[in-house]
Amino acid sequence: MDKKKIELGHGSGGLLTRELLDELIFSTFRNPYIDQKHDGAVLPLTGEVVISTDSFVVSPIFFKGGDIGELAVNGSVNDVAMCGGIPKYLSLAFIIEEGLPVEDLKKILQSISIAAKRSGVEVVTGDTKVVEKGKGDRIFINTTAVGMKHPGADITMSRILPGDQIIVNNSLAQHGMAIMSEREGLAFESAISSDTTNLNYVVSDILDRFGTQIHLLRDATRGGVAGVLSEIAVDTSLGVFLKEEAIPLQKQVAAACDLLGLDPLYVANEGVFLVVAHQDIAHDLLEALKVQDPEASPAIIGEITTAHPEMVVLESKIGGRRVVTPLIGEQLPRIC
Amino acid sequence: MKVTRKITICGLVQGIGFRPFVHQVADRFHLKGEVCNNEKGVQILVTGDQAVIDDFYNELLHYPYELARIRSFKIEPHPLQKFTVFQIVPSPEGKTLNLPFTPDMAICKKCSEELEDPSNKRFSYPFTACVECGQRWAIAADYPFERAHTSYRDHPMCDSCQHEYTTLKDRRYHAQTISCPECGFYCWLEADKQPLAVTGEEVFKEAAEKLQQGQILAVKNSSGFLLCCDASNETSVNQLRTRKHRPSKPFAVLFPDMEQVKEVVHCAEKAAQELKGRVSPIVILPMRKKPERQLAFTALAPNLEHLGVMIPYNGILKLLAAAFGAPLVATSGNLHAMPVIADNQEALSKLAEVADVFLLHNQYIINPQDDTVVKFTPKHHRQIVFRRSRGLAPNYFDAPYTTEKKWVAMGGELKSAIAMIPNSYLYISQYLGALGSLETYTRYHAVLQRLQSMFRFTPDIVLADKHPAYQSRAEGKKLAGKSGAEFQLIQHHKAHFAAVLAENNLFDQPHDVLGVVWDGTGYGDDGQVWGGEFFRYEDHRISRLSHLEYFPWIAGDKMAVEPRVALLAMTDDPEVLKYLSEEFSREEWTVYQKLKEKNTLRSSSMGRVFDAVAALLKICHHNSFEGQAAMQLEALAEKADPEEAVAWNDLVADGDLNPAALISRVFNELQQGYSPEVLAMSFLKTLGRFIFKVAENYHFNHLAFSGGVFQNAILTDLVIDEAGNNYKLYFHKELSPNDENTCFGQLMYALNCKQEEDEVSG
Ligand SMILES: [Fe+3]
Ligand SMILES: [Mg+2]
Ligand SMILES: [Zn+2]
Ligand SMILES: [Zn+2]
Repeated sequence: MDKKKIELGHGSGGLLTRELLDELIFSTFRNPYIDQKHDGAVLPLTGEVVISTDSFVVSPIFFKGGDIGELAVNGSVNDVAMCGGIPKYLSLAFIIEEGLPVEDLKKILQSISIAAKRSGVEVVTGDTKVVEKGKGDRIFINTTAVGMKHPGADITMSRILPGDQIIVNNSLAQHGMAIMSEREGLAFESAISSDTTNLNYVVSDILDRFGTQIHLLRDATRGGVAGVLSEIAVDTSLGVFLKEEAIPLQKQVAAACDLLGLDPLYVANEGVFLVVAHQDIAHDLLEALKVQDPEASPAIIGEITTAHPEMVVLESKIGGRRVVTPLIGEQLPRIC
Repeated sequence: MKVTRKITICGLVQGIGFRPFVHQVADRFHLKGEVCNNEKGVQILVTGDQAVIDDFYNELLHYPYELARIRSFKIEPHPLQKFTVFQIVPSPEGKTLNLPFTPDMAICKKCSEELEDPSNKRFSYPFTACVECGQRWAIAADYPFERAHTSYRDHPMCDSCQHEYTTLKDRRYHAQTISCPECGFYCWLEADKQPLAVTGEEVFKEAAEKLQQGQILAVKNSSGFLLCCDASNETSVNQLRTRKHRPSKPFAVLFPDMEQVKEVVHCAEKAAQELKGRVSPIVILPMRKKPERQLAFTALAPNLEHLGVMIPYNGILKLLAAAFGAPLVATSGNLHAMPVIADNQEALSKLAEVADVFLLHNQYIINPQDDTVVKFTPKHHRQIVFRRSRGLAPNYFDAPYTTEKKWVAMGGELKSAIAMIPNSYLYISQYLGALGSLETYTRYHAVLQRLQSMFRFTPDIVLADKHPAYQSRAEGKKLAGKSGAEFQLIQHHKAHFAAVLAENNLFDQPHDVLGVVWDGTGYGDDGQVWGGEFFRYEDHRISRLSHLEYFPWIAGDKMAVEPRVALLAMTDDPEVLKYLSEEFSREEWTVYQKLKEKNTLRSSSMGRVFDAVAALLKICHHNSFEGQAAMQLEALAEKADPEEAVAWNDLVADGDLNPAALISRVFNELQQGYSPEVLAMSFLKTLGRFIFKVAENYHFNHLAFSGGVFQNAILTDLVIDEAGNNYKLYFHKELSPNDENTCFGQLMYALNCKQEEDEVSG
């Protein structure tokens, strides 16, 4: 490609578009479906199909531990996994703001390609649009992931029972704090990296082993762990009881949250998911998660209870019990 | 010719000996008939000569019973009914309640004397009470106020009590809470699940001994638990602080008598009357420079010049204080941020880590309450309520409104209380505390449910604060949904203003009123954090007139907890920043500078200005309880020579106050060698000037004050001084200026004010 920056013409459908697609996109993703260069892909799926779509508008687009491309793949892949699906195919659509350096787009495509390979999905169809300067924010990406339902999965809110244990696969709040530090230019003394990663293999592994004993899977993205748990409490009319002590938190993340007056329970994650599982298997599941990722710090952080219906309650380190409300907009001060 | 008449008396007439009083008056007039409590108050049927009945009626009307608060009298014809005597008859059941509750009352003089008289059958009996004193709301499960509806239900009277109960001339004639050692309740002392003492006097003697040894005692009092220890034993007091996770919030002290009170604090007549009165609250009093009795002052009230003082207001506390003979710490029996505990089992488990010994009794407390707390301003002796609870809750009289609908107002978040209009009265619950804790939230929910079930009503309209993250708002929304009620949101500071307007009955007077509403935080109509507000009240409309100039609000709730962060947010003065930077680590410093730069949330909080000044004067770096920095600043100002401190008039000359300019001024004066004491006083004086400058600019002569900042007694006195005879000032009276009043304010706003178009409703 001659151009150094993306122009409106790259989205016109003309010659520049052709050049962009051929030189950057089709050459990055090679597989029998995309190679057809059709408007869509015909996929050999039989049985129960799981599908999920997501749009990615993160700013900045490059951050410590990842970029928007990697996020776009992992996001949809993980959502399919959380439904008890095994993701196979991915659609990929860009909305690019005029002026984006071609180098940046290349980097993003590279990340997408690596992330897709890592999670074992193939990019089978896509779209590219270019909008005028000021009508976007560098680049927006939409992905849709499609997969097959895992035969052992039965994931639904209604299967949650009192006594079920709540397990997280890794420590919280890294992604949100990494983004915030990058975006606001906050110079934390210790570096915090995003935790973005694909969760499909670890999910399919625990589904292989524990099947229907797993009642719910949820990734704790926007709204954080508190958001997911509030939803569970309200939808099931059961209570969620958390132990602050048990919640895994990297030291530097905890310090950064404290500095900013943020509660890590509300901060976004990209590689953290919650499992609500029958109490009988909770410890085995914890062990399985440890084996899957020896670097991670999975933990049983709480349980489902009938004690305080529709409420998420956190027992603090000194024994007080705090009501955790769902996040509403920003974290507004409540103290007088 | 004989006729029968029906007399109905509405108001606070139950549980105070009103029916016995009526009986006595009827006997004097030789009238026959009956009197009963009903769902509206008291109903009397009398048969006799028309003229005699009229005299009887006039007597009741013109010489009403002292403890009663009567709202209406009515006399009507009634079909002739023959009576052979005058008697008190049982209450009819099952009607919808429409009368005020009776609050708890401090022990009366006669009961006190009996308690101390070895020849009396109630000698040393902790539950001594009569028609004029003792528990009411604390033990009421339902109404009308009859023994069967209270914790006394399972304690039938013994023959001797029965005799007093049925003897017209006895002062316990028809006293619902009559009891004696034979038929009533008893106390015992235990530790580590072992009883230590079980019989009357021994319990208190043994308890006093433990206290002497420095142990911490949990006492089940008449409306909930208290935690006590020797107030002169610094080790014990600090141990209580550690165990309660309460590093510096002052503790109240229980003195055995007024003599000892006066050894330690200055107690003016008004305050003494309050202590000895029916409410008998905790009164915050100035400590003597040279006390005649040494207590562990720095541990009791760190960095403060005042002490919360109480005297025994019931048999339990009288016996305990007398046995110990010296001042005791007496603080609410709870853990940090939790509501006061009132149940034995709960206390034994939750307070196990705090108390060494438990003084328990077998009476069930139905409506747990903290002690009410009040203060008097030093110069003008104005009473300021800090916490409205035992002795005052749950009635509120004389609020201006008319409505056919049933209302519930959910109040605030940190100092929560619930207000409601379920019938022709208005009720405000006792102080309930910060809803962030599950226990407090549960208590709040339970109180709401209890009141609903006692009044057998579902609301037509539910009101809540506009703050999107308040638990009280979420709870209100749920309640409205369940009840099919309308749900309205009321802005925090407008509720405050409406509350003080209502307490002073200002809605229907012709003058415009300037509302000065200053507090820590409240969610504003523009989505910003308000707290230094001026409003105009004009003809049933409240509009925001001006406010403290906005400054950045950074770091969420952390800014309210750390005064240094408030100071950093408020100033860009390089000199101040240089001075301030040593209070921060390098990382904190760079991060906060960045946050400030990128900030979009803005605030006019006066509470944060107090914090910032406190941080600048280096008197408070961490608010371990709400308003700590402001309290310490007040204590500091009190030590200044008031003549030496001047208001910085130029800062408020235009009727605006820029917090950044204020901070720079304080800093410069500090550099010039003025003492922190003088600067604290100058700051308060400047705020006083600010208020009147705004009043001048907008031509107000009527000023009303609300919000937690007006718990500041010095500022209140300054404002009264400055007003002279040119202004009419209105303060809260029965209610606290803090967020406890917002539930009431929400009702008053909705019932008396037209909503502006830009006010969004939920
Ligand atoms: Fe307030
Ligand atoms: Mg999605
Ligand atoms: Zn009495
Ligand atoms: Zn008796």
